[in-house]
This record gives sequence, C-alpha cells and structure tokens, in this order.
Amino acid sequence: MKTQVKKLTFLSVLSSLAIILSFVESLLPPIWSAVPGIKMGLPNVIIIFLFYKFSVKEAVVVSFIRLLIVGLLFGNFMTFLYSFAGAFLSLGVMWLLKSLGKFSQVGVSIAGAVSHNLAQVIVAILVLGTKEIGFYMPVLAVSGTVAGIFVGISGILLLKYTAKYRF
Amino acid sequence: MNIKIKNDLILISLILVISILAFLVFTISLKKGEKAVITVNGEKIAVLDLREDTTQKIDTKYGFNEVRIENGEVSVVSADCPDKICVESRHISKVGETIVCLPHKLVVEISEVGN
Repeated sequence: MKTQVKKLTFLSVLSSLAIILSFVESLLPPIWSAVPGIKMGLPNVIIIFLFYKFSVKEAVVVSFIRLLIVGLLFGNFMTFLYSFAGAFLSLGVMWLLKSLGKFSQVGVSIAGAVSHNLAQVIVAILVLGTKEIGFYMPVLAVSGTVAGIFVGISGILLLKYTAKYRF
Repeated sequence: MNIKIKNDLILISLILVISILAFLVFTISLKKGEKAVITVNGEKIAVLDLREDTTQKIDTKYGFNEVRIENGEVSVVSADCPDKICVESRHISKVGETIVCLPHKLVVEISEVGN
C-alpha cells in the first residue's frame, strides 16, 4: 500500500514536471525559423526515463496526462491532435525497439523522436491535403535524430542519478 | 564498439537514407502544371496555357519582361532589369514553381486548372 502511494505520488510529480517542461519549451524562441513548430522535445526526457525506470505503461500514462492537460490549458484541438499522433507512434516505436533489446537508450530515444515528427507530418498532410509538407521530412529526420541523442543522454544521466531510489 | 551503439548508428543511417529517398519521391511526384499565372505587384496580369507555345511581353511601369511558353515549360527570355536573375532562372513547369523578377515585382507561377 505504501509503495503504491509512493509510486503514485512520484508519477504525479513527474507528470507535472512534464507539463512544466512543455510550457517552458513553448516559451523558448524557435530553434530553426525555416520550420516553425520544431521543438527540442524536453518533456521526452521524462518519458524515456519512465520507460526504463518503470515500463511502457507508466510512460504512456504520464504522456497522455501531459498531452491532455497541455492541450486543455495551452492549445486547441489541432495541437492536441498532432501531439497525440506524435506520442502514439513514438511510444509504439520505442516500445517495439526496447522489446527487441538490440538498441541503446539513445537509439530508442532517436527512433522515438523521429517517429514523433513523422506522425506529425503525416497528420499535417492528411489535414491540409497537400503533399508538399513531405519536403520537411528530411529536415525533421535530422532534427529528430539530434533531439533524440540529447534526450537519450539526458535520460541516461537521470536514470544513473536516481538509481538508488526504488519503488 | 558496443553492439548496441553499433545498432544505433545503423538505425541513424537507415533513417537518413529513408528520408532522402522519401524526399526524392516527393520531388518526382510534383504535379505538372497547366497554366502560368503572371502577376505584377500582386495583380494578376496574364494567365497563359502551358499547352500552347507563346511569347508574352509584359511591359509595366516597373519594367519589361518577356515570358515564353515552349514545350510545356515557362521561362523568362529577356528583361531589362539590372540583375537578370529571372532570365537565368531554370525553366519551370510544375505546380507551385515560380520565377521571380524582384525589381519589376513580377512573379510567374505555375498553377493547375481551377485556381
């Protein structure tokens, strides 16, 4: 019972942290003005941390709490749709890669970041009806890889420093 | 090198290769245009059918440009602007492509029927 409450509290705090990171990220100036909306994916540090500290379940739950609250507070249905698609595909891909066991955390994080961008491009093409958005894909693949490396390394550090805390 | 890191690098290379391929596929599947819309300072001056070979002279207070349609491609064959970037531009034929003459505020854009 005590461990359950402890875990619940911990996950709640992490969810809030993820929401705050989303917000902070939205305040930062765009990294690349050629592609508006390109993001570093700071909240994903928490997601990948949960992936390895706990399991897919916790990562999924915190992910969707974050999307829901950020969507309600700061966004509209469209941004929620994009985020949802991105999270759905990237969590699925990450879970697949982690299950295979052949990639490091950084590799999984890269795959997550790139597939997140891919999902958003696909939604954009479906919603706007033009194929031309596909031109962004190579750019997003590169930025996704870079972001994935950064998030992956941060996640590893986080795991290392919290290794002695058990739930 | 650690096998997992090696796999990561393979993954990254795959991602890059696939995205370059996807980019090529997109470039090739651009739609062939049906007409060329010429605007000067935002105002539509002429609409030319890409199927008919013609030469259109555009003479405005900003300057003179000559737009030619030949074999379904559009180009600017002559202009009296100082930099002649429009003349040196590649021939265009796909929807969305443009040739611009900045000093003359001229834009030639390929569009499809209905626009």
